[in-house]
Amino acid sequence: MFRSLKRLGVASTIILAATACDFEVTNPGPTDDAFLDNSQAHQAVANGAARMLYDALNEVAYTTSAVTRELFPAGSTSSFGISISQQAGLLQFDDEHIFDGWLSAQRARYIGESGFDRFAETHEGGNSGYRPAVEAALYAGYASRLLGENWCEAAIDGSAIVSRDEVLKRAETWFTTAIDAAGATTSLATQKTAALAGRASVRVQLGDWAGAVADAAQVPTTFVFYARYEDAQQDQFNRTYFSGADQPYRAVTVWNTPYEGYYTATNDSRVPWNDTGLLGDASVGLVGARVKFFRQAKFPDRGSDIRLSSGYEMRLIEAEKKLKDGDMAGAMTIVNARRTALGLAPWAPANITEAWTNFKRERGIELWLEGRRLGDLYRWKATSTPGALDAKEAPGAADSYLSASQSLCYPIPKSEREANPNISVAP
Amino acid sequence: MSPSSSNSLRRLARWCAGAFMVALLASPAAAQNPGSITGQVTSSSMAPLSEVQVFIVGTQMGGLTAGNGRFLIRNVAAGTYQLRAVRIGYETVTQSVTVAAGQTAAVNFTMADQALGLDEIVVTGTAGAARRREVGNSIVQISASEVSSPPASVDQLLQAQSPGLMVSAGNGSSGSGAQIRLRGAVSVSQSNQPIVYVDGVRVRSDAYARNISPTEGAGRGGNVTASPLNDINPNDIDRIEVLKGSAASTLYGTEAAAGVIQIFTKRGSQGAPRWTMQVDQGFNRLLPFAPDVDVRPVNDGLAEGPRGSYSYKLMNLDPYLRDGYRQKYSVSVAGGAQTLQYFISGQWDDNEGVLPLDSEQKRGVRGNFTFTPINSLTVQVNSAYNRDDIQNTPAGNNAQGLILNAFRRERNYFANGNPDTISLVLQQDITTRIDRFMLGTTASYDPGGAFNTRLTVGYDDAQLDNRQLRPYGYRQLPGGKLYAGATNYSTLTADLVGSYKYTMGENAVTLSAGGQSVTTEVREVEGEGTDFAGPGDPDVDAGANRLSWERRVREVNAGFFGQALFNIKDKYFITGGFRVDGNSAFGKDLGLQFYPKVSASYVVSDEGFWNESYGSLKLRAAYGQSGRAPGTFDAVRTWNAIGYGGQPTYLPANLGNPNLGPERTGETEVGFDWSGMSSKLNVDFTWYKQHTTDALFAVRHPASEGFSTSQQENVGELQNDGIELNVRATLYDAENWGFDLGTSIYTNHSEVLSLGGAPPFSGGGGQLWIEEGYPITLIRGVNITNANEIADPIVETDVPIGPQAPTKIFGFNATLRMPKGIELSARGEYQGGHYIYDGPSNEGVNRNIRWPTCADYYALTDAGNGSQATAERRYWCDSKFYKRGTMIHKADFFKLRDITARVPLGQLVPGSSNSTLTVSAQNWYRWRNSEFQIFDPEMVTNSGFGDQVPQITEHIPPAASIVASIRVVF
Repeated sequence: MFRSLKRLGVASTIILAATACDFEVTNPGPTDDAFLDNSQAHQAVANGAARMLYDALNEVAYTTSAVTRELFPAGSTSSFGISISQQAGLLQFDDEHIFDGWLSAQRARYIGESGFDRFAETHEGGNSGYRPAVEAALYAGYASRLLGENWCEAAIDGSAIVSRDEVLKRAETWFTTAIDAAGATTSLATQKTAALAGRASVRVQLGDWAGAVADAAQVPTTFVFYARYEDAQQDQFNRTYFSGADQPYRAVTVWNTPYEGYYTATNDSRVPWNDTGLLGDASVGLVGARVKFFRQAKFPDRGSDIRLSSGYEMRLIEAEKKLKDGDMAGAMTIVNARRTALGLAPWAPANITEAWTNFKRERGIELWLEGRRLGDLYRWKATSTPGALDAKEAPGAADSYLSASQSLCYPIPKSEREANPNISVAP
Repeated sequence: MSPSSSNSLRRLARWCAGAFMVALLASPAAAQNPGSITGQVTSSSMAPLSEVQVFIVGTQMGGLTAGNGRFLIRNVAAGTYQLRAVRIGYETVTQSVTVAAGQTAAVNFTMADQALGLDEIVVTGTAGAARRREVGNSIVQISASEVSSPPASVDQLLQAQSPGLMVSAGNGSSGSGAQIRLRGAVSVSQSNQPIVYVDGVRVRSDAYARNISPTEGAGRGGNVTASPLNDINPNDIDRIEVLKGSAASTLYGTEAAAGVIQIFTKRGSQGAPRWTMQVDQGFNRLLPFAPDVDVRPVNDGLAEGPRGSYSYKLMNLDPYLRDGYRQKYSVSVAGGAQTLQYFISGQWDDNEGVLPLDSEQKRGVRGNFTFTPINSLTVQVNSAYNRDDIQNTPAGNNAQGLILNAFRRERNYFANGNPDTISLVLQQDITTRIDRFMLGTTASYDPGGAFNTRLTVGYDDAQLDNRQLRPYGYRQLPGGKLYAGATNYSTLTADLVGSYKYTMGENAVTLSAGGQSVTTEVREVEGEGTDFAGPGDPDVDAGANRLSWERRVREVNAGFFGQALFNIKDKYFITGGFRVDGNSAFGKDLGLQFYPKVSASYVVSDEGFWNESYGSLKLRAAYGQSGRAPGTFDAVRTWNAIGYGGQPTYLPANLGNPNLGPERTGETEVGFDWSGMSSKLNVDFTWYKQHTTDALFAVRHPASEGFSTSQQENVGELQNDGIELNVRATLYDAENWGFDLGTSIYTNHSEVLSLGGAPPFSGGGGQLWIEEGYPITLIRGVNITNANEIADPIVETDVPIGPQAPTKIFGFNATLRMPKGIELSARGEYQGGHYIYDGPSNEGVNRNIRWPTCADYYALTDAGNGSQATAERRYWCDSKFYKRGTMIHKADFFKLRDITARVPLGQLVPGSSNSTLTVSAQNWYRWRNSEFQIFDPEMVTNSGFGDQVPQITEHIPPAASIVASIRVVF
């Protein structure tokens, strides 16, 4: 028996030795958070903020184009489609399709803001004149602008509800941070101008017209700052293009939008579309039939970029300020300079109200499909700005098929409400 | 290495080679004028019994009986021996036999049914081997020779075999594997697929990667999830042991909470080569799965005849379907001498699917060798190679898939229901190749005393090669696209166990200790090329745009275990044991994990007070714990490095949790096994309760935090309980006629006891939820409060509907035995109490596509009487009212899995010892709950076996088939 027990003991010892494994396993792939403190990783962090911002804008620009009738829904309701409620112009908190834009915008904001703070701690020279820091702040600003322009209210870092204006002020702060960090560094001039343009647009939303015009004046007319898209991967495609590219989706159309007839009449190169001779990819419940598939041509391919800011937008800010001040002629001079350059007939309003109507139309044309229309409609309504909308984009109008209670901002999505203990689940 | 050891190795090698040649030639080494033993084994009804292990006790000499029940043991030295016959399900019989020099002794056995098999050996879940009487937990043994219909796969072999063992076919596409659940789900975030061992070697059990590019949604490929289980040729299987929960699987530790399946392949046996050849021929056919109505829109422009002449019963798939031809050829040879036995087999299987591009070809070989260099040492080497080539038709929720576009008819992505147009998707070429190699070696040292030990080392290697081509000029992607993915899965197992048995009179204690290490590795490289220069057969390089991905994941799980088995008078048994585990996925602040177990077994029928006429009765009770490790990176705060437009970027990946550990499932089970009326009535009953603590939940974080929206945390508490009842009765038993009937009942009631303060979170899709006080997993839906009113619907949303997993399963099997050994058997299964989400109907109604479940509604609306429709009909049939994601059916169904006739042909084939003809009709009858009018519960997402969300998607159900099989033994 002793011999057998000895054998058992030996066997057990071998077993224990054999199983005293090293559980430390190094797998390639995900990067440990600590590695991002290395300044060589900082630019990639800033790029991450940009990538998330582009994703957010891609989603928001596409969805809101249908809600504002920059495009008309043409069929698909899931994947690359427009949900049934969105087809009617409604952005509902429990619509699963409104979450992605929120998530991407919040991530862009977080990466940019936390990245800037991380760089300040880990970059030997600090953030002044440091490109990753300037860009992190810049994209954090644009992310908050996207949230502020398009969401009715928001939460930040799991907070209780904060107002739209608070989010816009956050954007203003981060644009200012980017401007300050860029300083006079020549190689960061583009980023600094982009921050000025971004801040100008945010100040418009906040009603700080003096500040907006002051910033806009520093942005040259030819300046353009883009959100970048790529044709390499589906999640990097320009969503507005791909959803209507017949590959295979034909989910949106220019048919029955204000831009359909306008382009036919003017050939304005800012709102091009093509008649494909096809129908949309499914029946549209609102219409009760399938609709003509007029493909937008502003974004001609999967890699088409979307403007985040431009000098033309700055001129429109200046024009709008003049309209607000009652300077119709001054406003139209600015607006028509652009139209004349494009070979278009100038607007010739008979009165200030008509001038506002023309201006609202012009801003829609200039910023078509860039994810800005919803914010414009919101602020104009909030400030009871005069001027009419086209019947094909007017809420409750038969021609627009829009609900009279059209949404002019996104609600906080249900998923955020359910996960955030500081916000009630019910809106 | 020293010269002497080198010489020893050379001698051993020469000895092995010599022994192998001798065994193959089946001319066993002659002893001095040896004799032989021959005879026949029959059942109590005098039917010949094949596959009976007949051997001389205390030696390695013996073999299996042939189809006619006969056996022959050669080269037996003169003397008197104890000869034993053993087969699962029959009472072990031992007889004394005297062999004279140069003579043949004849011994016949008659084996009575013995359902309890108290002295049968089981090895799964025990440290070393144990007799069934010693085991306090339930353990299922499935003998392959008892399965009447020729199974096409291991999935099919397991289907409806035991209560609590649920095998859910993914769908009817070629190569589709099945999800397996043992007593429901014990986890909401980790895989619930049981772990699988083959001959003691851990092998991959979770699904292979689907044939889908990372750039695309889940639906773009064939959308098939192939199962590693199906790489094993069912004809090579001797038996399967199944442990259904933690009460039995403690010794497997951290990975085993979802149960363990162990497959034992056939071994050689001493004697002349015994050849078995089997030819299967048959066909597959898709049966209707939708209402037989005509709901085509008026003037749809298709020339399919006048209204009423067309049927939606196959949802417009009719023009594309075919009867798929299936054929399989397999051959094996088994035999050997005393020192070396072998089992060698090969198969070629060609199975055409019912969809136009679907097919699967399997080729495989297996070689199992048993060496006995000295009496106390046995070395078992098992090896197998299988190649599986799968071709698929594009299916799934896929805009470029055949099924979706056919279902949606003229409102599909071609805007055209013409079959010639839809068939353009068949230009896609979707192929999967799987090369699987399994090797295992087990050395068992048993010097015949109280001590024995066993060492197993094994390696499982699978190479998956996915390829998906949309050629240049393809209608929906003119530039073309090719995805190619190569994935290597490997599992390395080392397992050592030693046992010491100390006997004290009538009592004994067996102490066992051991250790086990399992290292799994996945290495995956994928590439995608798009926009080819022109027609041809491109590779990824040919694309103007190219993308690539790599994934390498290695996980180590290792631990040691101990067990003490107390045997009191061979009728009271108490077992206590433990396992201590470490795992590379645990958080860095977490130490080793301890899992205890205890069980008791009481063979009441061995008591003196027990009247033999009461039959045999064993009472059993067990408690044990095992676990499930978190995902590889779950414990670490990480970022993903992703390229974007040529720029490197970091994006948030995982929040991390340094204290993350395994979820822990404790299971209690109590039951009995009873066999009475001369083994004509057998009842197994088990009550079980599983309690999972530290359950890993993907705890939601608000998106506004800007990082990940969830993090795995050990916060949850889950519970499962239910019963398993299995009754097998011989209702009539005469010399030529007999009738056996078996029924089983399984129930499972699950509940999320606690979310640990976390908010409810999605269990997948928009409908499935993990919510406190509700089943795992809960389906949420809508309630139409004015359903029967003639009005627009008033709807409550997010209403708890019911469980996603069946809560009750009833099974039956019946066998009619007729003269000349002819048998007719049937096997069926009912699953119910659960709900299923119907994706295709959701998408169809949401898009105003005419749907066959709405024929009554269209009858009203087409006549301009839509205002007469009830709120309920308006909701489910009109996109104006329908809320996306709410199409949920009560999912009760019954399927007749097979009806099989088995006809012994005796020696009809010249030169054979026995042959059998089997004709089996599989899946030819289905019943659905009346609320479940369309589709099939087995045409589901198939997005992985760990998935909680089987939901109906644009697939086809498993086809019905008829297979004729002839098996000849020489």
